[in-house]
Amino acid sequence: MRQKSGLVGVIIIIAVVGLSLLAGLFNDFDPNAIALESRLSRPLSGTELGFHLLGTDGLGRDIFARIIYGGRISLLVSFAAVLISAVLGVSLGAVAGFYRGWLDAVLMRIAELQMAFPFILLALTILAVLGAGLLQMILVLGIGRWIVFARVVRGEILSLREREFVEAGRAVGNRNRRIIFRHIMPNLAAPVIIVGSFTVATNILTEAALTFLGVGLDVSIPTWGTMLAEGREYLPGAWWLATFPGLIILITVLGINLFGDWLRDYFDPRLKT
Amino acid sequence: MLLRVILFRLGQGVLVIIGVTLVVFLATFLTGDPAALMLGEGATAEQVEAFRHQMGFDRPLAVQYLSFLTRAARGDFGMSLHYRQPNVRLVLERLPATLELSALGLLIGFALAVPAGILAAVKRNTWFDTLIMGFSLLGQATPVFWLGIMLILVFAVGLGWFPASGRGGFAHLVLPALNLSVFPLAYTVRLLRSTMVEVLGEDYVKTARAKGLKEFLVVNKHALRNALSPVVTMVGIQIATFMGGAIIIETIFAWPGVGRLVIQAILTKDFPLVQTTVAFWAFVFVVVNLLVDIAYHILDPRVKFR
Repeated sequence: MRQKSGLVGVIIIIAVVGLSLLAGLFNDFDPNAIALESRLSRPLSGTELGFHLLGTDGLGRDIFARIIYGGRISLLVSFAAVLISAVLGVSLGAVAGFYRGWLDAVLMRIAELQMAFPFILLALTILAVLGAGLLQMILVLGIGRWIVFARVVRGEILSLREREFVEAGRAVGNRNRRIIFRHIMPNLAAPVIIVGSFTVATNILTEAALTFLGVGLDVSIPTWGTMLAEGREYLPGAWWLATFPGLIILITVLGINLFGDWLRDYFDPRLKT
Repeated sequence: MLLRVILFRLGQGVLVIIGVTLVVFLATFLTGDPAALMLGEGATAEQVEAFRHQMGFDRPLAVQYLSFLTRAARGDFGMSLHYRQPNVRLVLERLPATLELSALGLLIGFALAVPAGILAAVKRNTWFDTLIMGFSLLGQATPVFWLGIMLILVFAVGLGWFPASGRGGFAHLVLPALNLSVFPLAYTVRLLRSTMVEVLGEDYVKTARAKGLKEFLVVNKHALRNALSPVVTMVGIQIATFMGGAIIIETIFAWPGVGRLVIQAILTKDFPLVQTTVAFWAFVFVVVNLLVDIAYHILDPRVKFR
């Protein structure tokens, strides 16, 4: 059962990513091309300009095209943020776990403080101050999730450092850094990848939510979040503006979650439900 | 013993609130001149200077923050720039609305999650289990605000069963509360199911059955009590997500609660109000977590507090 759903997840992910990357091949429309004559066309309608699979928005831009191109940016932002979180979290977590002492204590207190607060409020405040923009969004998302990585890595290291091969390594005379890289790092790969994939999903949702609330990206940049924010204005009449971007978010996040679950089971069958 | 822990947690909580308000406070000044920010672009240099002096922005940062803290301790959070009313009053006015919504959302979520999780675990691997798990997978993947929009489109506009926005009678509460409950519900069902499955395989359950206890009692009394522990832990962590969800829901459904107030305050750059609402949210967060900790302790007295 898990195998099948994991496979579905992978297929979804490949489909979404592939669609975003190969955007040009799949449609005739420029996502930013404004065509006021065909504004707010319903899905499955055809104009002189072509066939609009998912209709057009308030400025006549093809929705399907915007979803595909928007996907690029949404995915890019989410991935970049995950990279930041991972780098930050893994290094801080590793330091905390391996060297312990006051470093560990300080880091954990900071983490607690940050976790003690609803992320969305922190993000809102920071974005209100820094302003909207791609880099700011990536930064905010990146800062938001470093703790998850840090905790996982720290936990792994704490349990690993007592294991025999570390002792053995030390007995042979390996320096600390060597121990970290050769023996501990490979064991971290799996949890980090798993956390990373779930975080991509979370970031997609969070980016969309923040933009929807009005403090995320500017609506001129086509992302799934901005499309949803715009689409809200045209409810309830032109329902397709808001429905399809949301649907693609749902499908993508679902795919990632399925894949992540499968990954988790693959790497640690003990956790199987 | 418990009292000591509660006091300790409250102390931690106060630190959290201070930390949070400090962040917002610093943020206000990092953007540049707060007086200019608040007055907007049309203000002249003299107006900005006068405002700055009036608001006390020309004092050293540390002094300003301390004065904010001392006033806050007395319950004075200053005036909202946008509404021109005391901030505390603005927050308290909207508190009942948010409480109403959150309470119902939590109630729905929990009332549905517990039986669903138990049943899914008991009827493991049947179509019922698959159905419940399928729903919860979907629930976790759905963007909260998109679901809200869909709910409005289908049930309010399309079918006309419920009003689309605003606060009024019970009918107004249904859609937003439902929306709010989905994500926590989905998450809790999955978690509860997996913990129940684990617990049901434990020895003491077999013992209980061997003793001849009715299955219903075995499941609902003995197994559940232990299965709930990890779930309750997660509830504490989920509170943050829940509160964030409340902000979004209130915005979509035009629900006059504190969440919506926060957004409006941030968008209008009404920093005194932002300070107040943020401090308030932190406070609620701390209190709820404390309650969760107490509940956890009641459920499983073996657990020692950190």
